Amino acid sequence: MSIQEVLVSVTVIVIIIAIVGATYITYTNVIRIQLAYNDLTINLNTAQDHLVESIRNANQIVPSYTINGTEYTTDFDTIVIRIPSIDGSNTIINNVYDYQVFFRDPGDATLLRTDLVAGAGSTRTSGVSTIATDLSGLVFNYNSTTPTDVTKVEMIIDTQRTVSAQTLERVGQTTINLRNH
Amino acid sequence: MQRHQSGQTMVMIIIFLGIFLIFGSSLIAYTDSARRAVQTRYSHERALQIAEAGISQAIWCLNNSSECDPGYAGETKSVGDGSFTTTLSTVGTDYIVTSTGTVGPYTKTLRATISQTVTSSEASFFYGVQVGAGGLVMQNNSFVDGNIYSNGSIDAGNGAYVTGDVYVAGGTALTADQQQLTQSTEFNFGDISSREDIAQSFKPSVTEVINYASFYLKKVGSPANILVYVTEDNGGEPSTTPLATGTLNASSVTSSFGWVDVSFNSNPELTANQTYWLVLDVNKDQSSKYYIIGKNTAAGYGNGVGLYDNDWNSGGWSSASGDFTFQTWMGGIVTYINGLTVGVTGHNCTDAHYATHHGDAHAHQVLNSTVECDAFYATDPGDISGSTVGRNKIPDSEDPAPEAMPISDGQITDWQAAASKGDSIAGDYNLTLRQSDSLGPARITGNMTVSNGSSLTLTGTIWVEGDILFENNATISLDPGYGSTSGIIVTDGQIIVRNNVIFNGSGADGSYILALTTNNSVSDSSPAIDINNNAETVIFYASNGMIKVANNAVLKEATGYKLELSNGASVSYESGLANANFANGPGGIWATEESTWQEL
Repeated sequence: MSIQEVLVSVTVIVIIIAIVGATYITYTNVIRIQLAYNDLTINLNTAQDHLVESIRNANQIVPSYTINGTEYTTDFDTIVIRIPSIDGSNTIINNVYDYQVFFRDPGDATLLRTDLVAGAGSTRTSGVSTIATDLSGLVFNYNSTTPTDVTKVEMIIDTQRTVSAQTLERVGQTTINLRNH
Repeated sequence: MQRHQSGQTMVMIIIFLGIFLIFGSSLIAYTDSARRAVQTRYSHERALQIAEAGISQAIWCLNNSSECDPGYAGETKSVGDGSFTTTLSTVGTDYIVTSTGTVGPYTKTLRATISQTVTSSEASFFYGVQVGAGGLVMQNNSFVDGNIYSNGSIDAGNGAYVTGDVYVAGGTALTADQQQLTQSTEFNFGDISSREDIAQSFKPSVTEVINYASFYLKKVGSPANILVYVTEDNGGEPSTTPLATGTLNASSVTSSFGWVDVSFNSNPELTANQTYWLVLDVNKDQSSKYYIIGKNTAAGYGNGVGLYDNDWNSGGWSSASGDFTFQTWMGGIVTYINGLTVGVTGHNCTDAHYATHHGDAHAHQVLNSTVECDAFYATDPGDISGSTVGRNKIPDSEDPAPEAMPISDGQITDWQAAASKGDSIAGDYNLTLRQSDSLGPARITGNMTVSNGSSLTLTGTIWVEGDILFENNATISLDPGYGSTSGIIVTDGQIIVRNNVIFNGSGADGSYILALTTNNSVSDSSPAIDINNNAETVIFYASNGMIKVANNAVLKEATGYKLELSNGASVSYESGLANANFANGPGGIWATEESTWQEL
């Protein structure tokens, strides 16, 4: 192999490596962004599913209620609901209710939390849990200014994350009827 | 060597293709998994909505038994790209419906209890004519065979008369004197022994009589009536000696919040800026039968506080940490009877036979009238000027207390809700010439016209958002299934009844049709209810507007904010109206019972 052939081969290899490298970097960046979007979507869907199912089963929006020692008040980013309790055989217990609140963590507003106090005999678990991260916005709109008269809730959830200096966002909006009101 | 080197480019191409194939396929796989995730969520939601359709179908079949198989027990039905399967099982008088929606491999099952609500509601019409603050106009030769109770003045023309007693209440100010309208939360009372009674203090802005009070509340179950007292203050608590007593009828309170008026047995004069109390006494606690009143936790009403107690007579009140929702209405407006003949000539005023057809007049002023028996009025001689009294003139009498209207806003809301559970008719409903139809429960978003000679049978409560026109010779009847109960047509618009319209109850004694409007027109040319001819077996009710009865028409009962009887028109009261019981349909309405819907 002549020196010219070696130089040409090296040049070609360098160009190929550069192209492959650039493609790899672009690809991994795309993947990172897509994975972040994936996380945001999962977070959003999880939060929506949790809220929709709970609110749909509720029979009343409660103006305010003390749950596990903390008083929560229904407003535009906090919702306190009353849900018929369910026993071990998955049957509604008459006139017994679980009280549940969804709210942004006051210490870390990117966390969507729920707190629940179960009624006597209910199989739902009392206590606080986190149902979504990356929260940047949470809005509840009601079809009545009197919480106990509310039959329909509009919910907007905004999740955001910054990846490679780029702010990614997923927003979900849904309207829920209180089927037990 | 040459032979080996000739394949190098191909190797590189294959390596490149391999790399890009890996990158590309992983991106495609990622995109496809996202698509499948969205598709799965969509299918789950579709399955739930189709399961909901199954429950709706079951309710519809139960409410329209002639449209589905006899003894409907469920079905399987295709809906778009999915299907639902419903099964009904009976528990007592209720049905439990289980509905499974299926879309491809995805299913969702719902369960709910369906119960039949024969929501009857009482309303007592104790008077042939009851009129609100708008007052009563009786033109020449019109008459009422029965008693009249009016919260406004009565002006009568030549020959106008009433066979019974007439009460004209002391006039009420048009706006509430004291009020707390904000409801930030709610407060139960009558459910446990420690809060059988509640009280709210207030300070009137004027020295004047109190005519009535209003409360914003609802009920759970069927609790007893509430006694309402007006008392003075005793060291920050209600005095145990009432100045006035009234009854808040449980039948006026519904399961939804609404304002309910309470009038008193007397109208004591209250002093401006002095503290008084409104006490609500349930008198017993029942965990399943109690009341819920609105409350403002911010205590925004600055002239009083809310308290609760086991027994208002025993003291020991506790703070309710807020103000209850209430209004007080002061009197002091002079009202009168003018130009009316009260009682029938020849009555023996002491004869027990005339206990209900007596001939007494009760008003602040009784002017230019003929009173067969006794006249109760304010001051001699000005307030009895121009009148002839057959037996006793009784000056210095208290003005009669205003009488609350017999139907509350909450009852009207309940009836509208019951109608909304039935058929929904968008736009106008027209029953054309000489046609017949059965309708109800139903909500009509436009106008309703029953044309000449046509016949409409009510099978449930009807709510018309527009106007109602009953044209000449139309017949409106109640389904026989109503039995001894009465049926309801509610409208937000005007009711016009042309000549010879026939209203029939169910055929049983005590069954009537109530034609009610919430329209507030008091215009003589366009009243809330305009009746052109005889209309028996029907109760006309205009809670906020005027009823105008044309020449020579004959009614059984009329209740309105204002009433005008034209020349020769009459109202002949029927005693059964005192206990009228209104049902939402002949067999009730099947609907999902609250707090029984669940996802399995």
